[in-house]
Amino acid sequence: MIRFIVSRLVGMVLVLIVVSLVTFLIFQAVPLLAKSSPVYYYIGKAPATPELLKSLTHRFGFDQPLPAQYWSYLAGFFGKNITDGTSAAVPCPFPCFGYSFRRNELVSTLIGQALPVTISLAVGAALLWLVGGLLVGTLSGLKPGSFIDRAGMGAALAAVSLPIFFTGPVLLLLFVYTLGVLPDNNGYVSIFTDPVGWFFSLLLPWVCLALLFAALYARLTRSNVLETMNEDYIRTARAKGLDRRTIVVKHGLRAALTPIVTIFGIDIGGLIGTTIITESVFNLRGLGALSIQSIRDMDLPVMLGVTVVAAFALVVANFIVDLLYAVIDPRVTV
Amino acid sequence: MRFKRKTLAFASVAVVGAMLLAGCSSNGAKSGGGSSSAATTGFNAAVDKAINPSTKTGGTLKLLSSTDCDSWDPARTYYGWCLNMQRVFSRTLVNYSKVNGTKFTLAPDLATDLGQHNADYTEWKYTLKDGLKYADGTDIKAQDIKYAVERSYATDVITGGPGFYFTAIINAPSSYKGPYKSGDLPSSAIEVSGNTITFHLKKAFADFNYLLGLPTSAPVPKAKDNGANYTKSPAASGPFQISSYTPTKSVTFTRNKYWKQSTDTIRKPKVNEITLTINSNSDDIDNQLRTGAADARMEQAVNPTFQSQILTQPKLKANADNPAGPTTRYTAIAASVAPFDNIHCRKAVFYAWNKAAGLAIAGGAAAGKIAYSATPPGILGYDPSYNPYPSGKDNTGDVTKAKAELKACGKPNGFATKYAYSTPDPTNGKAFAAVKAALGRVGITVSAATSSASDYYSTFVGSPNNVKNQGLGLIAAGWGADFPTPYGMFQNIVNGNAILPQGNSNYASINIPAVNKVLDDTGTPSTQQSGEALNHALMEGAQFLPTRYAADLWYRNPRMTNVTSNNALGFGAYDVVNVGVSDGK
Repeated sequence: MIRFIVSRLVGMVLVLIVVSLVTFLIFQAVPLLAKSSPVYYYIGKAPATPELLKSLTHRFGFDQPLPAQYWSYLAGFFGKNITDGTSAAVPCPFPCFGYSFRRNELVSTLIGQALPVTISLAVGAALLWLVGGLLVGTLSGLKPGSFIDRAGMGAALAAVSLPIFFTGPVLLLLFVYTLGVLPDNNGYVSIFTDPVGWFFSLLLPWVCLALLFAALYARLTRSNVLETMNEDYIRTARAKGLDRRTIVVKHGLRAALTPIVTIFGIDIGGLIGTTIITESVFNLRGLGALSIQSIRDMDLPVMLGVTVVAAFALVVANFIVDLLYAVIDPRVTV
Repeated sequence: MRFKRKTLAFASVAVVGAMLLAGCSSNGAKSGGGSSSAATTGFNAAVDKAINPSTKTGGTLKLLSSTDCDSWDPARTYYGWCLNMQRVFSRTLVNYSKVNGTKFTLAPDLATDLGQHNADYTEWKYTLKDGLKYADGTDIKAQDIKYAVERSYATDVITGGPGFYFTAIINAPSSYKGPYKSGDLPSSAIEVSGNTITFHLKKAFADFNYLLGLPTSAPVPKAKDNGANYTKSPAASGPFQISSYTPTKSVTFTRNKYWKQSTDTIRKPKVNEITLTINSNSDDIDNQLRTGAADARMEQAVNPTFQSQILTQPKLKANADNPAGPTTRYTAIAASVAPFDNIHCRKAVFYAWNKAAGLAIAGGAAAGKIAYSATPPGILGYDPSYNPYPSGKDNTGDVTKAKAELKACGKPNGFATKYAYSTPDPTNGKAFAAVKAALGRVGITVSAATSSASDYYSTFVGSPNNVKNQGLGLIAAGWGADFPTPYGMFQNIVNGNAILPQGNSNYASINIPAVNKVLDDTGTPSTQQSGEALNHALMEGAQFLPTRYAADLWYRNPRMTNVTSNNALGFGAYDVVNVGVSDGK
């Protein structure tokens, strides 16, 4: 077990380094291929005289060789003082993702502001789709071919086919602008300042996001349940006289859930940093919105920070899922 | 499949029902059009005057935007809508008292008059009014204005704004790098004595007051300046101050209680608070405008969906304005790319161009007016009757004249060239298709040369070498005036002396002596005559092919009072500093 944990941790660090290196190279390579320089992203509309280009290139460190730039980023992760030669040095404690000269903020501050929004969105949607998907899938699996099964799977198919940039505005139009039962789309409200406002600001995004994933879970649960309920040991349990509920929940679902847990972990980890469309439609300032804004602004430190955090979330989720696997299925040892 | 009678009956009832409902809703829309305030409101009513006049005060003005400003630091902001927002909290020595219509008026703001200058416009002296205070109660001093202009020299920190207009003309030592590295400017550059400030210019500039009309020289107290972070809490000299700012999320302006109406003839604020909420869902902003949940959108025109609703529903249209601002969309023709070194080959393109198709693709009449010459409305020299290359009665092009020009340049069967535009804007791609079709009529084969928007202006068409090497004969471009004079409009885009190796805005490297002469002669005040001389010389050079004067469609909440368009600097956005709300909420 200890060996497993240590080896996974080492693997995690390696993955994060590779991810940050690839992002760094892409950001640098794009302007180089266009025979340009990243410094243009900082100039705005002012005429780019050679002196201005030179002083800005020096200020942001773009005149250093690429390996030196990357190394200073990597080594600074454990904490450094950021100085751009124009004002007092800004302390950047661990974990230091650098400084955004576009936004005049530490990247870790920006990520820290965005993370609660994305986590609220991901966790809420995940609970919704898990409960919804499991329920529909189990009912469908227990009564294959019935009306419930056909309706459930049909609804699942429709839900997964509708993209968020469609369902989002439609739900907004219906509940906010026509029926007026939900407040205006003015973005995320922190749970600490206004729990009720927090709930309503996330209700429609949860539903939209959950609709996409619930379908997959419903179908997966359905096929797992069908398979499990036909096993010999289930027939034995029935023969022993156990009630239906115990058979389904304790014996059937337990086995059917193992693959669900695996993909649930990956899905929820994968949501961190990738809910770009949902956050845009519902005006949420989460990691997805931060990543798309940083790409528009060509703000490298923020792009690197968001990518690394997203990769970290996914790797950690995978790790937890593997541990849980051992708990759920006693046949598996780690 | 046979239709059963019952099904047919249901179907016909449904169809008739639907038709009745449709008739009802469109009737409803039509009948809502006329109202008792038709005399003061209506489509385009706010373009050239302030409508819904009212002295009622109080309430909160709710503004929306899909993006944050490039900066709230008055020296670093350059977006038109952000220059408009600066009027809310930043005052300058001289500012606009009339921003609507096409003729703008400058008036004293922090200064007592429009300045005293010497005979050759190399010295400008202003006296500050008494009783001017920031929002924290401290006095606004002439020294703060000097400090503000000094900041523009720190080009590695104070990036992005139009400060280069000042640094190009003030008599500063060439080694001066701004207050953070080089201390104060000597008195030979900017002289402060008591409450007077004198600018000594190394290059005569008769239109200096227009530079002061930009927020760039708004006073900055040195003690409050924190360099690149100043954008987070800039000092307020105007009737409002930024009381809270969450970047990319919201800005709240509350009243500056130390601002005195007696010192300000330009602004007559009515509301207690202005909120600017940033909503990443651009269509949602239009929804909130339509339902009246918000008052106005600041950063851009409404989206196409809402635009088509506005233009087809009279009730909505009465609340909209569509001013054509000082912006020209054009195609730059690079003489460094053969065969455009021959003026007749260039003129062939001028005559073959289908301007009507271009306007339709951009959005039709609401997207602006077809441009016959370079100077747009709002800039001295604008002359709608001057059309040196008429493209037929319907502006679809004059194929006969084009072919004649082709013959004159020795290419009677046409030639091949490239049309450069930026991606991923889909309108640009459609525009290219129209250009290809139009020029194809006379045998000019056009192929596309694209670049992503982030590189397009900096190194793709912004590098004269790249333009030549890649054969970018035709370059899609547009430009809005930095300030409404011929210099503010044309200096960076057509002056042969402003060509840069990269980040060049004179994409076709236009270098016409008569044009350079008007632009370089900054020591003579701009007049309609000098503007026309520039316009004519530019058009005669046949490298600047104007296609349209761009217009945006803006929508105002009917509860807004004293509302008018800011065409001087805001490209039509509403001049919100003077706006009130009729319901006092």
